[in-house]
Amino acid sequence: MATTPLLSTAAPGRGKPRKRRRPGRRAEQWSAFGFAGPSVVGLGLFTLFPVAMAVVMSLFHWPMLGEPSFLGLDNFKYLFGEDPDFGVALRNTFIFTGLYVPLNVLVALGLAFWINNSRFAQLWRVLFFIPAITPMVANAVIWKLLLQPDGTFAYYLDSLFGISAPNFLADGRTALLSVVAMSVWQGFGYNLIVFSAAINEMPSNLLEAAQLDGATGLRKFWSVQLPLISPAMFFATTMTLITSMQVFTQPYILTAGGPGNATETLVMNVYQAGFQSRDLGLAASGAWILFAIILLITAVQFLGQKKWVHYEH
Amino acid sequence: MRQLRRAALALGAVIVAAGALTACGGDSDSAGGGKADDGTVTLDWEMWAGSEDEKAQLDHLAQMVTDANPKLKVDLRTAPFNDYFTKLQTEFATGEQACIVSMQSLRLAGYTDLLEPLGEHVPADGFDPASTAALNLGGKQLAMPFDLASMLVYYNKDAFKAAGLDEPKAGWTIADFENAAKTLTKDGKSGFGMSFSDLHTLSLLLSYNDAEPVTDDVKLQFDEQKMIDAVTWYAGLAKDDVGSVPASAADGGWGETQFVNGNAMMAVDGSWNIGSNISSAKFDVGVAPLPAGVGGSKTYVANSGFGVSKDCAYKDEAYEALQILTGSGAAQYLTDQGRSFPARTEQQPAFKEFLVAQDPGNAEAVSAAVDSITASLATGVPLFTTKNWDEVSKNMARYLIEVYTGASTPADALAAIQQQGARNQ
Repeated sequence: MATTPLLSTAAPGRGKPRKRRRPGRRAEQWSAFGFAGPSVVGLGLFTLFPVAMAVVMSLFHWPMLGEPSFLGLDNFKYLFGEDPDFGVALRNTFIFTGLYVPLNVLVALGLAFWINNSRFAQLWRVLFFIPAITPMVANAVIWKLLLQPDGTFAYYLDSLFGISAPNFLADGRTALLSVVAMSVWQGFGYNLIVFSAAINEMPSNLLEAAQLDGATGLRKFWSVQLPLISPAMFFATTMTLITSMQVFTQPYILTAGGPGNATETLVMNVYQAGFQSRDLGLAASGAWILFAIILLITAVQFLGQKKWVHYEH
Repeated sequence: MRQLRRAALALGAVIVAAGALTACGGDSDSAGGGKADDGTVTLDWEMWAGSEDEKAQLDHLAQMVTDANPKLKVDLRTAPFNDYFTKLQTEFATGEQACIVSMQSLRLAGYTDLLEPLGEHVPADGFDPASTAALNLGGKQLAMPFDLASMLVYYNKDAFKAAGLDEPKAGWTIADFENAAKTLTKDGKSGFGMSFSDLHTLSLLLSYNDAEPVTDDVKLQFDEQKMIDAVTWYAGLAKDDVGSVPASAADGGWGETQFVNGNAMMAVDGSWNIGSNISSAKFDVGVAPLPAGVGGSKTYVANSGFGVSKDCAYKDEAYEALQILTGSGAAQYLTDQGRSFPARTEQQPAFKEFLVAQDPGNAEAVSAAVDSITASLATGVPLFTTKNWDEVSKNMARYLIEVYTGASTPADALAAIQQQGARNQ
């Protein structure tokens, strides 16, 4: 059965369908613009325009109340030179990311495999996903209570192990670790769902074949199952990396960047520059440095995927 | 024909959507208020509130304005105190500020160009002179006061009785304070709840050795020697858990919260919290002036009031609303709620009556406590701050907590606060 080409408006029996296709094509294009229009307008107004403004603002001294004045690259020079907090914030962000991303992925991966064969897999998935959808501020407030001296953690450390707990959020050594722990608890659920879906998609014939060939346990896990879910792992790692570089809510609620600047992260530094020091130009430059770093890391990720991510053909 | 119609429909959709997007979020009224067709003016009022009780009190005040003048409505917006000034600055920057702006005397410096000087709209008498003085910067009266506050030591009467200690009273010294704190530290409870909030900490340091963080011409001097000595003493209270150290730099109200929860037996808190501390605590609460150091008992005096933003389109209505919000009717209402020591002298005795009514068995002690508030207000010093005080107080939190936990020395922490604060002062 011959299918009528969609664009043809030629009446049956008449020739020259091409001449009438062009006006139809243009109307189709206008129609496409029309449907995409609202989205593009929204994207332009609320994303592209502020981003472009931020580039402009980063070259100015732009106080919240008052007249902006051109500074050139002085904001960037200040951040990398005199600012006592920016370098520390950069370091803290990298430490946070370096601890959080592997922990998050490992916990999610491990639990995803573990519950995969359980009868209550769906129930486990729901339970583990609940922290990921609870508002971050609520989570942080509860964790603040748990981490207090004489709080729940301190109490159980003392009664079960006889260790006297440090003041988790006020001690510079444990403050960032506490923030990481809270973030892992909150965030692994999302990756768990992604991995669970990927594990369910693993073709069973491949796994059977591997089993028949003698690959069991760890060998099967490492050489067969992991490569099969490597696209999901790539997605999870990249997304988790990007969001962890932007961490703000957890340190803001838990420790307000303290003690000293032990838990101050890049976005916190940007927030302080913008809303405490009221210097929007400085905040914009900090934000753009963060953007550049995330772009670089993500580019490295994408370049590296050829080596370890196996897509099905 | 069909294609043209389709295209026209699509274009129309874009235009409507763009129009809707630009319209949403836009304010059709002028800054801070609006006028309805029947001539009723609605004024926006921005104020901080930390609980449902506080919000109910403010709603009542707003209603009093409409009761006095049915053509005048007040639309209340609130934010928690810790975020209030961040929100306020953002609103001023975007032109979204309210007509009636609540202001604290400590934050006045950042708003001198944004608030309309009230001049002749402030009544000549009725207000305690200390209350108007604290809201007067550079000769301009920037807000009308509704309260007047000094810092006090709140103490757990039951604990003092159980330990056989004399209750704190006017004239008690730093040595008495230290002794009480040490004696009351037992069974996992601390004698004193520490803080890094500006008024709470700086008032006690002032009383200890006259240490002042700001010079007379309003420049920061956190790193001067008296401050270092005072902070060294204060941080020393944390030894042996005598002072309960805040759990993190984000715990702004640590000392007083621990006190009300019964985990700390004493705390410094403002006189604005007398009513709520007494009703929230499950034990008998006593109040005393700050312990006397080398120069006698001293405290910082602060207060809050309401001002009118310069860009308010309905200034006359705003002045009228201000008269009612800070008038004797409103002052009487707030005093009956035990909100705070009133700025109006006429209502000040009623505040004492409120407290005595709360604690009739201790009428004498309570009266004495209020007398000590009055006395401290007479010798209290207003704290005038730099315009970046928000930033300075956040830095106080981050650096002082390191001193309390022993991770940093007072000299280093104060130097850091000074250096970062001096940049934008």
